[in-house]
Amino acid sequence: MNTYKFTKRSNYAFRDSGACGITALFNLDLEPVSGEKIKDMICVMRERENGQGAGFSVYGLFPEYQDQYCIQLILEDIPERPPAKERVEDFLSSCTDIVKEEKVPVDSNVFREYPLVWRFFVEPKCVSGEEDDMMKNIMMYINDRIDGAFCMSGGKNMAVFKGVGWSDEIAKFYRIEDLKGYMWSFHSRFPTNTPGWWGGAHPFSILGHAVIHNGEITSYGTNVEYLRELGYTCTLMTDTEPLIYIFDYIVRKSGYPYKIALQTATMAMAPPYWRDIDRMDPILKKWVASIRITHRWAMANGPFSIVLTTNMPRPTMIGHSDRKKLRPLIAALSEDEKTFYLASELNAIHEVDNTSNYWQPDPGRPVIATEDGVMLKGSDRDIYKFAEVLK
Amino acid sequence: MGENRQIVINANENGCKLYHRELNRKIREAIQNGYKHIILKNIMGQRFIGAGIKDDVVIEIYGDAGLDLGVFFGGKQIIVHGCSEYLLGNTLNGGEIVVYGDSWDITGMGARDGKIFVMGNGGSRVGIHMKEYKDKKPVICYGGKVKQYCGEYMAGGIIVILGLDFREAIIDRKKPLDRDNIDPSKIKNYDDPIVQSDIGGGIHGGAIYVRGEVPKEYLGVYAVKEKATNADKRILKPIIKRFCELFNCPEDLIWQKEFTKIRPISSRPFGKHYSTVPI
Repeated sequence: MNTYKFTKRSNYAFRDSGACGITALFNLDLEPVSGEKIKDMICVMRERENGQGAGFSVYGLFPEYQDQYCIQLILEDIPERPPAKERVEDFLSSCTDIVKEEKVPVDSNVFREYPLVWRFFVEPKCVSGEEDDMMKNIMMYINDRIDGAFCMSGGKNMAVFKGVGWSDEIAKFYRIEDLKGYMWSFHSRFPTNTPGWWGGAHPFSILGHAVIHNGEITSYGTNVEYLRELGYTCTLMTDTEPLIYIFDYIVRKSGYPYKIALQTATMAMAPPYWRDIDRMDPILKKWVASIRITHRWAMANGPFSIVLTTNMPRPTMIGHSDRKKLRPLIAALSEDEKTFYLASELNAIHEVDNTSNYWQPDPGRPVIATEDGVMLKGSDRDIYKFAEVLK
Repeated sequence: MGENRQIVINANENGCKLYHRELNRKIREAIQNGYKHIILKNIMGQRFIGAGIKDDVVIEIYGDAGLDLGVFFGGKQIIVHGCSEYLLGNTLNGGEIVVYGDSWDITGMGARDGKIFVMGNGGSRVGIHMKEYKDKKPVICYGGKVKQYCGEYMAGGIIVILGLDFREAIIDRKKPLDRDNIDPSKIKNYDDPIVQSDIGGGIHGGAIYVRGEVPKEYLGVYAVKEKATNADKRILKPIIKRFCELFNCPEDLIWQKEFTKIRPISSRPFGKHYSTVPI
């Protein structure tokens, strides 16, 4: 009998055909938006979930604790062991200064059984410049070694909330209407390959990055081997997890200038075909070929459409898809050009904003929005903009 | 009465989105009661609208239709005053589907007959596995652009891509999109190319007509391109005429540019892969 209800995978296998739903919204002026809006967006796509998982990420949630890392956990007690919270607290106080801790407010009427949701605001004890690496290791240590604890997120001024349930249940459980943030992503799950469990719901997060994903990554094994070399341990047994580590590695650790880092990361996940690279002009050909060769094990094979959100170093939202466009993704900008949307289906966007400025990104090309506006619209010709930056 | 009996179905009563099963049940009920013109209001991405309907009816949709609109449809007409999602006209059996907006991937998958007219842009794999038999020839006509793998594994029928930009021609965005809401003088041309790579990949029947030039490297496996001849223009004429009727577009504008025809390289392009007899 499995004693873990929330923080470890169950043996319950659920198989059915279907698809996940993804939605995201980003206020480009960084003004806080209530969670009601994103909840309306996801709940309209009822066919894109089956109650086996949902979750959301919020950015700009803790204006008072902007400089501390927020470790957000789900905890459950195991018989004959000290409470999980105590063990996490002992571990955290050995390597960080805990500035504040609090119980995450939840609605107790939604689920019959639910775990304890707790958050710590911490400052790592280490030499300056290595905080991010240390926090990454702390997150991975908790998920790998501390029984009964699952770390959902550990970034600054952001948090991830997730669980097993329908999207409206999860929204109600975490009291989404009380939360305010400038950037949101919400995922409703229709698990096909792995069972639904609390930790296995999306978004997956590391530091300030979070990813939600619709599809499946068949190159999981290759990606995991590659990440192991780079110091990332994949323990959650789900194909979405490597994507966020690949993104973190290329954007934060590889040392590419910020201007090209985002495009390098997305290009590494879905690189152009060799036949297209052969036709590019020399400077672009050299770069694209070397990205493809250097990060060849970072390539994500199989159908996917993802939304990557990050605030490291700047608030950015990326919508990305595989090269054959086997999963849906629609992008939109509000009429006043202040809010950027991404969703699986157009009706999710039209539910909250009747904008006529919507488009489908080209296969394998990222849509990138920052606070300056929509940087790339996901067109085939974006690659020439990349060439200009390189020159 | 009789011929034009109309019924309006509200798909969003009391702010609650009607589930697609319930909606389709209401549509079938209306057909049984003898209604010939069914108007659906406040559609918010409901799937499978008009699934398997073979009666002589017109279904008019206000809002954004969901996936699999008109799946197995064989009735008279479906009109969408808005967008349609993926899998529009999946395995279409007949009739006509008109979309005053965009409709993305996998439009007309495995269509066997009928016509699909879309004003806006398309996505990937438009017309995949389309087929024809004797006088049953499906037609897909896109006003805008399409993406990769257009006409993949196509075995029959006609796909027409026009490359027209209707975005500025809409007179009032607040009103539902229809013929009267389009200003013909403001319709523009998209720059070439209006298609993407692998057009007609694995095609072994039928033809794709692209208005304008198609780069050679965009052709899919065993697809060849040639200039449209007068015989091709005769085939295109009724399709273009109907498109212009529906979307208030001047016919002269369309004929300004030459069409490129994409067809299979031979009548049995994949014969040597499967046949034991050398051909």
